[in-house]
Amino acid sequence: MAANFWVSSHQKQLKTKEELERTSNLRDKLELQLTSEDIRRIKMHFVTEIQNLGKKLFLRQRVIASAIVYMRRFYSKCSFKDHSPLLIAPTCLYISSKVEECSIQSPAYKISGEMKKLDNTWPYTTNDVLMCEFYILECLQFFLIVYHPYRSLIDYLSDCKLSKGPMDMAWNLLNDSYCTELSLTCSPYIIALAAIYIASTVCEVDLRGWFSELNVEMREVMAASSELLEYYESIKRMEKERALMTPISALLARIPAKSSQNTSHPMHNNTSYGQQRISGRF
Amino acid sequence: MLATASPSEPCCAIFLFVLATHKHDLADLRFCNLPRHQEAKHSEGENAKYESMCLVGEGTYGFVFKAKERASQKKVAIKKFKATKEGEGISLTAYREIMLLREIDHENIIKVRDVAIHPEEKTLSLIMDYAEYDLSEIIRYHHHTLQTPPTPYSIKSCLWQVLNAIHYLHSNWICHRDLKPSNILVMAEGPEQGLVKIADFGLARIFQSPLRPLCENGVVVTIWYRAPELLFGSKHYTRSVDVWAIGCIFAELLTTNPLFPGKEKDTKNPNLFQDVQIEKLFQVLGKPNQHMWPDINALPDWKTKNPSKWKGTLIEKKWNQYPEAHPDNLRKVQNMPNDNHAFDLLSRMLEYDPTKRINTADALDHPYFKEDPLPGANMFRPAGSKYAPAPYPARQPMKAQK
Ligand SMILES: Nc1ncnc2c1ncn2[C@@H]1O[C@H](COP(=O)(O)OP(=O)(O)OP(=O)(O)O)[C@@H](O)[C@H]1O
Ligand SMILES: [Mg+2]
Repeated sequence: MAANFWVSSHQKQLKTKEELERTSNLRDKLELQLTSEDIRRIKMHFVTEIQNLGKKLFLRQRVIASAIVYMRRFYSKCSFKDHSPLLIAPTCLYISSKVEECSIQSPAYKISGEMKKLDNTWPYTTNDVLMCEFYILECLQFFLIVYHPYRSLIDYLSDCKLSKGPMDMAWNLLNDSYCTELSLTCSPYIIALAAIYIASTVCEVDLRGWFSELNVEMREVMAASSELLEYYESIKRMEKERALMTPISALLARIPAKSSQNTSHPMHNNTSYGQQRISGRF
Repeated sequence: MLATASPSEPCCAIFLFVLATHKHDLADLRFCNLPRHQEAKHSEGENAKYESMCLVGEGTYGFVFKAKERASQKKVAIKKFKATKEGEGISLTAYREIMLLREIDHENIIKVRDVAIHPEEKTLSLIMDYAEYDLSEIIRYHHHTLQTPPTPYSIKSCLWQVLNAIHYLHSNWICHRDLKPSNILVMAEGPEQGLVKIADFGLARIFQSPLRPLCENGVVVTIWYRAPELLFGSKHYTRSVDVWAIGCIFAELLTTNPLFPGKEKDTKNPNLFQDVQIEKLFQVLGKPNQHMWPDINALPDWKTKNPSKWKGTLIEKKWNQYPEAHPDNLRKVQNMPNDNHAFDLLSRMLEYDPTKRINTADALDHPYFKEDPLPGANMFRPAGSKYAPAPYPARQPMKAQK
């Protein structure tokens, strides 16, 4: 429920890492020959896109963060092949700006306009965004209230009294958690604690006593921490092996982008879309 | 409206009329089942899932149809939101209502079973349990036909359930913001008979969210139930605005008359609209002052409208005729019963100062609910009495208005 994470749809939708890996982007792995690593990189690319678009539109961080969660939830059930992230990502931002009641006038026009400015080959129109709104909502089963770890982080930070250095680091870690799938597997307070845990360890502040008094599953905090660290590892790896890796543009080229001119409905290429999804998931 | 009962009268004709004139094409609906926490199977052919019967409500934001789920023959209500302006997509009202109702699970709050999307029309419909009555019709029937108020048991049970629902919302940081008799539904049959269900979450809001003015697209919502701090220009919606509205509804149940019947609608002159409402409060409760409501001077419209500055308005002219605010003023309201506990609770809900107004937890704990008759889950009759049909005529189909 709205103020109680424990009985919220968000809490009920959390999955284990394994479940998530099993259900996400199935067709992409089979039919587009994308590896899990490729898929991760593509998602990261679109997380950045959402952030850039959000900044251009002066949207608050919360709105951007919700959009990222919507996009990740969407692809935990659907695939790039059927639904191009080129359209899904900006539409998620459109939806989150409405959920958070940002006062942008005609947000759909603004979003498609900005997208065209950011990328003049962007193949969609405002109407595509408006159509896509429905399909994302449907896929999300209209569960739109998302809990973010910001609040928890503020509360914990004021309690554990870290100095400025580690505190800033914790904030950065928290922001980077959106580059991972943690928001789909972990309660927000665990993510906040993982950020504090890493920051305090790196800065050599001993918070063991504080953690032990918290009465939380340290195992979960550790698991979240190691996933965050894994993300940094993967960045490092990517930097080193850049020359050997398929460039992101080549990966994106494998995803069929639908030209809105040819099809009346970008989401409807797969005609059984609605039925297939309804019967599959609901 | 509630003149005669006509159970199960087919009202297809009206529906077809609506179909033709308003393009409520239910045939191309695409339904998505919304099981609460379990997986549910998908029924083949969504189009055939519900059989529409008639239009039963037209609100500011949508049309409500009575329909039947074919498989179970269960009656449902389908609320179809009005389409927005070109390019706006799904309305914010629809967003608010659905995202909150998706999270809420409470026996006194209406459940959404399904959502149907209409991508071409850029709108959607909520499929809810069907409630045969709403409080505005029940009160109207008591006023015009029975000419007596509901029984003390009914009033208490109804009020208790409303408070129970709003207490749940408030503990979850949700403010309903649009409580009025027509948004309080009552079930007529089956195991849920007499159960009160709060509906219409189109204005409901999680507290932290930013606020929007109450007139969107030029439509002004009813202000008869609006709290004084809002009438005086406060931009802060707190839980206490819901409690004020419940107080107004409580009084209306007791007397069968609306307590502060200002102007119904006036989009042309919002100032007058608002002033008439303020003046109703002054006439019934008396005029508030800084002594009883210390923060009143901080309210934008109180400052500018305080008696000396209220120049030229009807309030200035009649300023001296209004009594000073006093709890006993409320006793003089026509038909106000002489029940001390009921009256005490009512006057605490209608406290001018929102910080002094009773909250839902304390209201539920009030002695009124502890003395006989005790409130029950069926507002029509106490637990243990024999099952009987609900004592009110069924909803009449509505003619679509222009
Ligand atoms: N579940 C239901 N069962 C039966 N009737 C219903 C149901 N929901 C709503 N109604 C009827 O339809 C009317 C309008 O519904 P609702 O209040 O949800 O719409 P609205 O457009 O937000 O209205 P308004 O803004 O005028 O309050 C209600 O007053 C009620 O009479
Ligand atoms: Mg209503």
